[in-house]
Amino acid sequence: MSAPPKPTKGPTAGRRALVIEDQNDTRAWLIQTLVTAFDGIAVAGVASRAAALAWLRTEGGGAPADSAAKWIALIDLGLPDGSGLDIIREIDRRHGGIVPIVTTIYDDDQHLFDAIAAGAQGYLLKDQHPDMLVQYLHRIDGGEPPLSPSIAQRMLKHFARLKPQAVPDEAGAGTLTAREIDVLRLLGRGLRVAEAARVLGLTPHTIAGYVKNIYRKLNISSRAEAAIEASRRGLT
Amino acid sequence: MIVLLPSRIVQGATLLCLAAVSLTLWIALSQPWLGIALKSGGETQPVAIISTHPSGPARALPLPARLVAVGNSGAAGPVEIEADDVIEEPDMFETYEQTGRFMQRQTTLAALLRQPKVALTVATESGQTQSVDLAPARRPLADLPLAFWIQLFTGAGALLIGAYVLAMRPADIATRLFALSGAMITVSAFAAAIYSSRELAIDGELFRVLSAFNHIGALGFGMAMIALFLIYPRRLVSPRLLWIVPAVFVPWLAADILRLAPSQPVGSQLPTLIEMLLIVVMVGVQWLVNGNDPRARAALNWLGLSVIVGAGAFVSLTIAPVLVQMEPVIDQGHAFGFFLLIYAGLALGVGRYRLFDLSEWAFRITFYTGATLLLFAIDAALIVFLQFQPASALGIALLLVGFGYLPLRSLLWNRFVARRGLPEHELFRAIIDVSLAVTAAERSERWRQLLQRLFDPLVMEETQEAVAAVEVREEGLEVRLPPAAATPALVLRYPWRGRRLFGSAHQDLARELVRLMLYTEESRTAYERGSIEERQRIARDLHDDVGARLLSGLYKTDLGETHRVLRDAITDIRTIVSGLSTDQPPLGRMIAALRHETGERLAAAGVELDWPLDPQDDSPLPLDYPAYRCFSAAHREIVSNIIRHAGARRVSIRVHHDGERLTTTIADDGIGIDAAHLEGSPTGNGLRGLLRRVRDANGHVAIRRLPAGTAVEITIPLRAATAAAPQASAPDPHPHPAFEGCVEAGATPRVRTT
Repeated sequence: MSAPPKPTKGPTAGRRALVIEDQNDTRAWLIQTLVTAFDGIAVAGVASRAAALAWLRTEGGGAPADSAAKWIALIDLGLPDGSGLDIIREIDRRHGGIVPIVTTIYDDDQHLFDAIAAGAQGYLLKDQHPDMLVQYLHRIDGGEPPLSPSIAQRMLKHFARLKPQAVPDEAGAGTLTAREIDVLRLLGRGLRVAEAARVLGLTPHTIAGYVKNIYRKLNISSRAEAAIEASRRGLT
Repeated sequence: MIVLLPSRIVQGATLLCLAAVSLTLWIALSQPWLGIALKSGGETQPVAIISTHPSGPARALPLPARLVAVGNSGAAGPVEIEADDVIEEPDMFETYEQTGRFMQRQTTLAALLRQPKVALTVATESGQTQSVDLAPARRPLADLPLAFWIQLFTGAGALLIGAYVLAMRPADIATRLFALSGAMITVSAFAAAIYSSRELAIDGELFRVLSAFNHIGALGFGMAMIALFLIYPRRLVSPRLLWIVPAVFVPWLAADILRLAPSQPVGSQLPTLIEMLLIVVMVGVQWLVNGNDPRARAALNWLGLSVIVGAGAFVSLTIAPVLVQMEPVIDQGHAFGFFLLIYAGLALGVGRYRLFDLSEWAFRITFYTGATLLLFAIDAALIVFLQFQPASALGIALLLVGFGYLPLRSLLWNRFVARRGLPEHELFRAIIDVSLAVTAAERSERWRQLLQRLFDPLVMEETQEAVAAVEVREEGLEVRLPPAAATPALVLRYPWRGRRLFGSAHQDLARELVRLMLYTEESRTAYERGSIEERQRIARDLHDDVGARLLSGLYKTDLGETHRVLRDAITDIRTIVSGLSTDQPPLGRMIAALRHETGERLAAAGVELDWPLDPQDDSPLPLDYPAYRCFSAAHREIVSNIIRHAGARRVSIRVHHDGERLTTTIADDGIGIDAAHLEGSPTGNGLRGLLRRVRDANGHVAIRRLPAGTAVEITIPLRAATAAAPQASAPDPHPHPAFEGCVEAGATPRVRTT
């Protein structure tokens, strides 16, 4: 077994991260992983949803918008005082300079799909080897979010049943392009980004761009659906 | 056969009562009236005029005065008034001769009073007599004395309460006797009300008839009560023997009416007293024999006490004194009020002591029936009222009726009278609601609520009798439902609050209801069984896979190895929770997941993967959970082995299936497999586990040495044991027939080495 390369990014002054995890050991370990992955990053750890939202209120405003070195939030979904989804939504709404990433132990697609719809820009499985985790973190940070076959299949179904008029045509958020559908199909059959790129004759970077776009469209369409649902029920 | 609905009996009795009350009032009011109140004042001053009606014909009479004679200028000479003429109840005479003379005088006086002009001879206090001519008029309603109303009220109440008890159990002899006793009180009281409230005289023939009715009613009440306590609460004699009671008292009654008895007290008061004594005796006997039945005793205490206190007070205060030649202690008219005690007592006791096995619901039928009658009465009153409105006020009145009364009436009608049902389309939803309730108690509660909504029965009770199917009984008065929704068999009686009967359409509805209920329950049971199987499957898999893995991790000394074991355990848990034993994931989904996972793992280990897409991969073919679990675990194990031991740079994987069997070939270009692995050395734990898994799934493993590296071929059936596929609906002692059948098949894994 050969150890994977351990690339680290250059020092990024002032870069910060937040780990939201109620298990003390796991939290310490995730903080360590972040420190390993990103030189000079300042990592805070909290154990509850309330503490996370408080941190976002006081510290989150400092996150740099439109910067290559966005802040990172690792979010456990099952928190003692509520769902991590709320934190993801809060970041999605108010903190464009923070990348919300789900850290979970079980990759059941329902939770992950909902998290992506809420605005998560990636997810990590906590039981992975630390080296692998670092690698995945870099991929997400570099704009290449993960997409497991089951989530790809779920996305295809989601967009197929989505009524085009249900989502305001914000850069075609309600529909997928033919290329995006091709990418989802290949990923849904278990290919990784590099393999899908080879099949389609594109660069992995382009495929990663498609995936990122699909993430964004799912987020927009879910938000629009939620708004439509709310207005249908007279909540707004 | 005509079935009497409870509400019909009560309504019929109400109408009968109204008719009887009207007749009584009509007779009482159509007698000639002078507007004087008379009172017997003793031998010397026989009859005193104690008051005159302010607007009556005699309003000008000077008071105080006494009435000396009644005459008529044209016809016969004046008749002198005697003290006995104003007697309330002629039964008090000792001999029939006295009664006969009294009746004759009543006839004479009544004839005089019917003349257009009546000459009254009155004596003032100073002793002067004077004659006054008066013209009799019609008696106003308000002039009727309190005693009249007490008797009328008592008679009406006894009739209605008796009818209401009868309505609940029309076939029961006890309730029939009770209702009969009430009707007898009515006959007796209404007759007495007329003659005891006469001003001075009514026609003797009418008097005689009324008196006879009074006697019939009084003795009839006693007979009915004696018979009642002979069979209630406990049946002491056969119902046929009850005829002995009238056999004794009816001849006695006839002798009295025909004046054949030795004396009037013997003919009239004595049998009444004997009856009263017999009632007391029978209540006592019932009390003794019901010593070991507290419920019967409680009912008896209440009913017996009411009867003894009510009838006993009447008899001892008005009848008994006559027998010992004393004056009655209290007017008979007022004393009639005691009888109301009996019936009011019963009404109060029904709910508390379950008299005649009735319960609170018995009140409700009266209430709802009363509501119907009341609404009709208001309607009628409104129509009459509107007729007499002056034209100017009519418009306003109509507006009030339109916007006020009609909506209110509709509300009341819907609340108390209208039949409430359930639209057909809601039926299924209602049944689903019942069957999806979590606890059995909740299901039972909802089931009863649904039945209440559908049929609105007055009684819904469980029955211990076996009910196999929906059956309508007692001519539509009740329906029986078999056990359903965690509820024993139910009996529903008096649908729609006793206003309608169960018909064949309702029987069909009830059948459909029970059928749907049982069907959804069956599905629910199957679902529950499925979830139990699923729980057992998860428990077993957790124990077998995760437990075994964690145990091996416990004894590892190398931390890296321990970490690996823990990660593998987590992967196992993922497989276990993602698979559903009843779910059959498509083959394509499993291959996609395996391809992705393998790619990631090999990439992390720096190994190249050659696993091209194959149209066969994307198969929707369903995969049994055991096959899925076995195949992915074996696949995973082989890849782990390669990463850890083979030193390979490249792995080629091909998967194909023929619809029956699934085969995967995993070839690496590593150092080649060590013979020790095949022999089951300590380092070969993973491989041995793999072999066991594959054997359990009825498949086989072939391991070949390649010129460079190793190729492993795993073949398993897509459905581990097609013949013994689990069936969700059939009960099965084995939670996993397919899986266990495969163990029993015990195929030995064939390991070939080349």
